[in-house]
Amino acid sequence: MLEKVKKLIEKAGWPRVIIGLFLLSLFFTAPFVGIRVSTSISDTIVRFAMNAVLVLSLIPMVQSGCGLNFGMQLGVIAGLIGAITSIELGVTGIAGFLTAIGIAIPFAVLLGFFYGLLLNMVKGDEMVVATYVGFSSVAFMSMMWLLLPFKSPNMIWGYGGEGLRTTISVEGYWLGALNNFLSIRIGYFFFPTGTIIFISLIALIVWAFFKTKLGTAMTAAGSNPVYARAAGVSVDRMRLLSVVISTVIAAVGILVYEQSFGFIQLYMAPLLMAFPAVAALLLGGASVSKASMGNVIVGTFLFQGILTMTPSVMNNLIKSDMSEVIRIIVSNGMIVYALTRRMKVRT
Amino acid sequence: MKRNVIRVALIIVLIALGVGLYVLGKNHKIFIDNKDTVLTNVQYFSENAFSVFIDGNEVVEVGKGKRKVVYSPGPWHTVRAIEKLPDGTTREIIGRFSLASGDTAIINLPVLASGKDGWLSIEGE
Amino acid sequence: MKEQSLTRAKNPLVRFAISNAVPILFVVLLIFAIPLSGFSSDYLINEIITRLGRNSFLVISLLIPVMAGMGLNFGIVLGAMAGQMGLIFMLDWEVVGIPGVLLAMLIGTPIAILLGLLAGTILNRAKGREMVTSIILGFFINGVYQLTILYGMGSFIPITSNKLLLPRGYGVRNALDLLTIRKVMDNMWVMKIGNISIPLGLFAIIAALCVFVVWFTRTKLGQDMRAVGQDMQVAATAGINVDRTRTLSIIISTVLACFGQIIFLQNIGTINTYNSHDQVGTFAIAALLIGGASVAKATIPNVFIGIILFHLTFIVAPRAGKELLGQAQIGEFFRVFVSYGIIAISLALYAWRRRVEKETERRRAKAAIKAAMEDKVGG
Repeated sequence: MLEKVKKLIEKAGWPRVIIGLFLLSLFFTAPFVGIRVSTSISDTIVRFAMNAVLVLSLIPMVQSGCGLNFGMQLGVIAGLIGAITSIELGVTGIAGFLTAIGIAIPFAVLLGFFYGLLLNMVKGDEMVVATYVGFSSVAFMSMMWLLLPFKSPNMIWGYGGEGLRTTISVEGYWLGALNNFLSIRIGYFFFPTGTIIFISLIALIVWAFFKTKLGTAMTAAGSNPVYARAAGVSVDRMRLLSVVISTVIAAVGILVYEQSFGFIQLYMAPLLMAFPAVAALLLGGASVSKASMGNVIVGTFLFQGILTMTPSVMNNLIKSDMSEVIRIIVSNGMIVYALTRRMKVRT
Repeated sequence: MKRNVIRVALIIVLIALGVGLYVLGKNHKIFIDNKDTVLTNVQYFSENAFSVFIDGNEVVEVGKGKRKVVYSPGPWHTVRAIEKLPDGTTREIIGRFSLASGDTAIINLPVLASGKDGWLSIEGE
Repeated sequence: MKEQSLTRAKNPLVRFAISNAVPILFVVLLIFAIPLSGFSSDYLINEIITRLGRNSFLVISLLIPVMAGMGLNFGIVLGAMAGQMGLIFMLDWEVVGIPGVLLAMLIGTPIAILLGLLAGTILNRAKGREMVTSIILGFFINGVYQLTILYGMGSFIPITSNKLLLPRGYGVRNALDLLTIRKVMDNMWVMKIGNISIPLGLFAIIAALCVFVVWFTRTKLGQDMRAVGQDMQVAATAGINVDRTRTLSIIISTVLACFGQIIFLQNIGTINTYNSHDQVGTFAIAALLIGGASVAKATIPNVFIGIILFHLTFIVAPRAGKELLGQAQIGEFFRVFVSYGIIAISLALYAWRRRVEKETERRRAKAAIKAAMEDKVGG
C-alpha cells in the first residue's frame, strides 16, 4: 500500500503533491476563518481563466527545444500595442477585443520572428538571453509609450501631459468581453463561460497542431535534433516557427488577461510577467524540455489557487499579508527546482 | 587534526574580535544634569549654565536646572565642563569615567564642579 | 568563421577597436550626452569619485566566478542580503562608527558563506545553465529574506529596538537610517583638491582588495579555478575537485558582495530593507560589461572603467533626455534600458561565440575522424 502511494507521488512529482495538499488545506480552512468557499472557487476559476493562455503560450517553445520562454514580454508588448490601438480606434465590446487581437498578431509575428532568429543564434543559452532581451524590451517600450502619438483622452496624461498613462482602464471598451459572455452566476459563484470557451478553443488548436505533421516535426526538433535533421526537418525553421507561435499566443494571452483584469498596464509592469507563467507551467509537471496541455491546466489551477487562497485565508489566520512573499518563494522555487533537474544532452 | 585546530582557533579569534568591536563601538546614552541634588547629606545647587564637551566632540549647553542627552561610543570617556560664572569668567573641570557595554551614565554637573566624587551614576541595562 | 577572422585582424587599431567596442561606444555616447546634460565638471567628478568608492567592492566581487567559468554571478544579491542582515543586527545592538561597520561585516560573513554554499551547490546541479539559475535563485532567496525580515525578526530572531521594528512588534521597518555609520569609511581619510574631495581611506581599502584578487589568482586555489574555468573535463582529469572549486568561487564572491553592500549602504546612509538589494546584480554586472568584460573574461580595469562609464551614463541620461526629447522620464527609462540591454547583448554575443566554437570543434573532430577512416581504408 505504501509502495503504491509512494509510486503515485513520484509520478506526480513531489512539488505538485506538496502544493496540492497545501491548496486543499487552504480550502478546508477557508470556511473556518469566514471565507465563503463558493467565492473562493469562483475567484480561482476566474484567475485561472485570466492566466491560462499566457501559460499555454510557453508550450511551443518548450517542445521545440528553445527552453522556457523568459522573453514572453515580447508577446505581451505586441498584445499591449493591439489593446491600445483598439482603444484609440474606439471599438467596443467583442469587436473591440477582436480588433485588439487583429492588431496584435502582426506585431507579434514580427517581434517573434526576430526573437526567434536571435534564439537560433544562441542555441544552448536561450533562457538567459531571453530573460534579458525580455527585460530590455520592456525598458525600451517604456520609452516608446512616452513618445508614441496616441491621442485618445482615456489614455493620455491629463492637463496637457505627454505620453500614455501607466494604467489604462478598459471599462467601456471591452472589459469582460469574454468573461461575461454566456456567464453563469449562482449566488456568489461566477463562472466566466466565455473565457473558458475561448481558452478551450485555443487549447484545442494547439493540441491539434501538435498532432499534425508539422507539430510532430517541431517536437522532434526539440527532443532529438539529430534524428529530426536526418528525417529532413529543418531544426532552425521549427524553432523559429515555435517562437513566432509562442509570441502570438502570448499576445492573445495578455489580452485575455486584460479583459478580465480591467486594466492595460504599461511601462515597467510587464517586466516580471514571464516568471509566474513559467512557474505555473512547471508546477503542472512540465520540464525545461517537455510540456503538455495537462501541465498548463493543472499548473495554472494550482498556482492561481494558491495566489487566491493565501491572501484571504492566511490573512485572517495570521492577521498579516503573507501572500506576496509566498508567491515569490513558490514561483521562483519551482523554477530553480526545474532548472536543477538532470538535462538531456542535446546536440 | 591540525586543520581543525586552526579552524577552531580562527573562530575563537573572530568571536573575540566581534566582542571587541561590540565593546569599542557600542553607543552609550549619557545624561548631563545641571540640577540640584543631594549626595551623602550634602546639598548641591545648580546655579550657572555649563558648556559641556563629551570626548572632545559633543558640545552641549546645559542651562540651569536642565538635563541634556548625549550619545558616545566606546568604553572610555572624558567630560569637560566649563561653568559660566555670573561675572563672565569661566571655570573648567575635567572628569574621566568608563562604562561597560550596556550602561547609561548620568553626570551631575554641580557635584562635578564642586570637585567632590559622586558626580557620576551608572545605570546598567 | 567570421568571428575568428575578426579577432585576427592585422591592424592593431582595428583589433583594439573590436575587442573594446563596448567601452568605446559608451565614450562616444557620453561625449554627446555630457555637454547636453549641463552638469558641471566639478559635480560630475565628485559624483564619479563617490560612486567609485561606493560600488567598486561590489563589482570586483564578480571577477572570481567569471574566472572559474561560472559566468556572471547574478547571485551577488545573496551577499547583499547577508550584509543587510549584518547591518540590522549592528543597528539593534547600537554599535556605531567604524567598529559598527566592521561588526556588521563580521556578522554578515557567516550568513554570506552559508548563502554562497547554497548557491554554489545549486549552481553545480545546473551546469550549463548557471546564469539563469543564479538569476532565479536571487529572486527565490529574496523571498526567503523577506519572510525572515518581515516575520522572523522580532519574533524568534532577537531584535528588540523600537527604531527598527514595525509598530506591530515584529518585522523590520522598511527604511532604516544609518546615520550612526553614515560615510564613516568615506571620511576616514579625505583629501581635497580644489572642489573635489577624495576618500583616500576607502580607496586604500579598494586597492587592497585589488591586490588580494591579483594575489588570489596566483595561489593554487586561484589556478585551480582558472583551470576549471577553461575546461571542466581537463581540470577533473588533472585531479581538481571541480564542484568544490566552483562552489568556493561563489562563496568568495558572495562574501565580497556582503562587504560591498555594507560599504555601499554606509555611503548612502539609509537601508531600504526590502528594496536596497534589488538591482545590485543588474547594475554591477552592467557596469562590469560596459567596462569591456565578457562572460568569459573580466579584469580589474574592466571594473573601474565600467563603473565610470556606467555611472556617468546613469547621472547624465535624465537631463540629457530632457534636453533632447523634452521629458526627463525618457532619460530614466533609457538608463534602465542601457543596463538591461548591455547585459542582453553581452550574453547573446557570448552564447553565439560559444556555439560557433562548439560547431567548429565538432566539424574538426568529424573531419579528423573522416581522415583517419580514409587512411585506414586506404592503408
